[in-house]
Amino acid sequence: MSITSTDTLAVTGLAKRFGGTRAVEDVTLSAGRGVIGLLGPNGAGKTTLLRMVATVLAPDAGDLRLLGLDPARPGDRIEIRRRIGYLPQSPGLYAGFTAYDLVDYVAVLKEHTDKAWRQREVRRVLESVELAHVMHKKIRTLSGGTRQRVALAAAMVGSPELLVLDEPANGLDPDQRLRLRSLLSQSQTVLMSTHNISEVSALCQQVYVMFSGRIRFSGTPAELAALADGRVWEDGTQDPLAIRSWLTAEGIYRHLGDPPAGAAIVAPTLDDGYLLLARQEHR
Amino acid sequence: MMATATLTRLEGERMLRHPALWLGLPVMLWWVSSTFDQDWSGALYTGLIPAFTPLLLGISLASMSAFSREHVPVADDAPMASSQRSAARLLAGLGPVALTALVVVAGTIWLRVRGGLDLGDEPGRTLHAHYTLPELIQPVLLACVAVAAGAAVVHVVRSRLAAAILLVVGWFLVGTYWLFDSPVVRYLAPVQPQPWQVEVGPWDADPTAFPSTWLLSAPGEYQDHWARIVVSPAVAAWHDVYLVGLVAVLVGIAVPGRFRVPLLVGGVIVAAAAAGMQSVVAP
Amino acid sequence: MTVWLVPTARAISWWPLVAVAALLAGASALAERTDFPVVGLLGIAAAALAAAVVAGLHDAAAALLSAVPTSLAVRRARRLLLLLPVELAASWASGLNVPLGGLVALTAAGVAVAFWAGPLAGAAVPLAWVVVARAGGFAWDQHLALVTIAAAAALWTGRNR
Repeated sequence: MSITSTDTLAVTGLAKRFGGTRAVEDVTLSAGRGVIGLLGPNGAGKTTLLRMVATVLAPDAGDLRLLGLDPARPGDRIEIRRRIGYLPQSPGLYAGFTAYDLVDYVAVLKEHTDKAWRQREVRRVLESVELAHVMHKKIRTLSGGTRQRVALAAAMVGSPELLVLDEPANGLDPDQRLRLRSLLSQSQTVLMSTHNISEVSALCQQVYVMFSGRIRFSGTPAELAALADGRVWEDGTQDPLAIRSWLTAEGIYRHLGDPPAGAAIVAPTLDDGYLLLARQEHR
Repeated sequence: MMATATLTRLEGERMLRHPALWLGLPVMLWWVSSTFDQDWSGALYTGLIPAFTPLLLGISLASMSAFSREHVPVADDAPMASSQRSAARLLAGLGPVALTALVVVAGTIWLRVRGGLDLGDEPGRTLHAHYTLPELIQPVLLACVAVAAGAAVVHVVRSRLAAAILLVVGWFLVGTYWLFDSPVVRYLAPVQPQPWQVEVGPWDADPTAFPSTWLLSAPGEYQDHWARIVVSPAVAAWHDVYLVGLVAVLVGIAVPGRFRVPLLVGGVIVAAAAAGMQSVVAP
Repeated sequence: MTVWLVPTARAISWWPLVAVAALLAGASALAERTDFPVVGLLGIAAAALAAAVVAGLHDAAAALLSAVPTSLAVRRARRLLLLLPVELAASWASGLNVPLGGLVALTAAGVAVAFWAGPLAGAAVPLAWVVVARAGGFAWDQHLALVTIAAAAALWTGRNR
């Protein structure tokens, strides 16, 4: 993988340990414009990686460049923080604030001191996540999905050049997920972790898959799906030779592995590619 | 019923494992040992019951911790009602109450072996003073108050941190008994050490003229007269009844359900009546 | 310049400080009524006020704000700027004349520990200090200057932790 100086995000050999646990190890990735997805099981190190990219957590080793700047330098770190937006996995919110007040407060902390500009910007981001009608309601009265959108709006205030989103679709209903997709596709650079593979296939130009703190795959969603080319077949009964088998909604079994002679090979999906990778990892 | 009993056992084990309880015990023993350093007669008799304060605080914090879990919506759809869950948590508090009772029993045996405590000044002095039964019951009832107080405070305040601060301050204030050594307040403060002092003569009175059965307190730094020292089992007994009323009020505050109003009303009536009776029987 | 003032004040949990102030005012009034020397109250009053200030440092939206250019140290300093005058006012209003040196030492120690180990541990420090001093039968207000200096050093080094 080649890293160029024009990349918004460039990570080389990044590592982070917590006590005896290696949360992230030797991670190298890069991102220009577009949406980059980060897939992996729970505990794979996605959140730790995103926290390092968001400059919240300092890496133990490796090189990190964001927007051409080095977050290890205090001056650069502040400049980076002016230009990025971060949505953590569990964003706590002030229950007594209205959605408008919270996003306005985040704008203040992002050093936007012009009141008129802030008013326009806060309204803009809240409208972009379709919260204009509840912007003056107290956060404690909002549903979980709506709170998630408030937090997303807070991350997006000031049109950051890089958005770092940790499971942004958490708690969103299918309609809201769809709107999130169109919103993110308009952003400059987005690095997002997700468990939702359909999100990745619909949204991401590039996908990284992490297992046990390491990047095990990098490529396009189509390339991830292609890992399972010729290794997915379907029939009416369970196949003990398959490395994964599951019953589909149509009532037939879908198998992953080395197909037996005469098997009805079908086109692989992104799920198949990911599952195959996960299976190989656990062997 | 079985489910409530199981939850009681589970919560009881958790409460008994709470570190505040086991930190409170050694601090209490340290408090007891430091009471020995005081050189005035009656320091031990007066000081041993307030020395339970750290243990009571530990019990309150453990109870607060258990009841703070009520604010986390876990299995709201489960058939066990919130009042049953609260009842189970309250019953779980019997573990720390039993621990307090054990400490009281051990202390009583130790006092019997030791031959009693020093009380009074010459010529009205004994080296063999023992606590009366109502006085010995007081720490056990105080442990019940501690359980109920932890539950009530976190129910009202909702923040664990704020509740913990209020409990520490509250127990410290009522534990430092001499602060409220006034006729009315000493009936109402939960920790009520004995003995009582009744003024019997001016500083220059001849103490040998007082009946030889009286225990006396000589004029000194804190008093300018001779006083008779009286241990009143009747006041202690009514104070115990007052504590029962207090427990009912606190449980009424903490526990939702149909028993709330009867507990509050009944508790207030019992506490008020018992406080009144203390003033009637006081020496 | 002070655009942060109102939202920061609203983001602070004032509950502990208000409750402690009310409790101490009540105890102080009671002590005065019963002619009891309030000196026995000073330690717990200072500890409670210090703990309440530390509790006010708890930031419910800390994760969301973790990557904003306004550093954690600045956000904490702003909260303290609002909390400390209220602490002093509450101390004065309680009528207890809590010694300033003790209040500063306990608050600094609590805040320093909160920076390093979180608000819960930080709030526990001043309270445990006074309870342990009472249990051990020694004065709570010893070596205050030393404690303040050590706490200030810990505060500075842990300001962005």
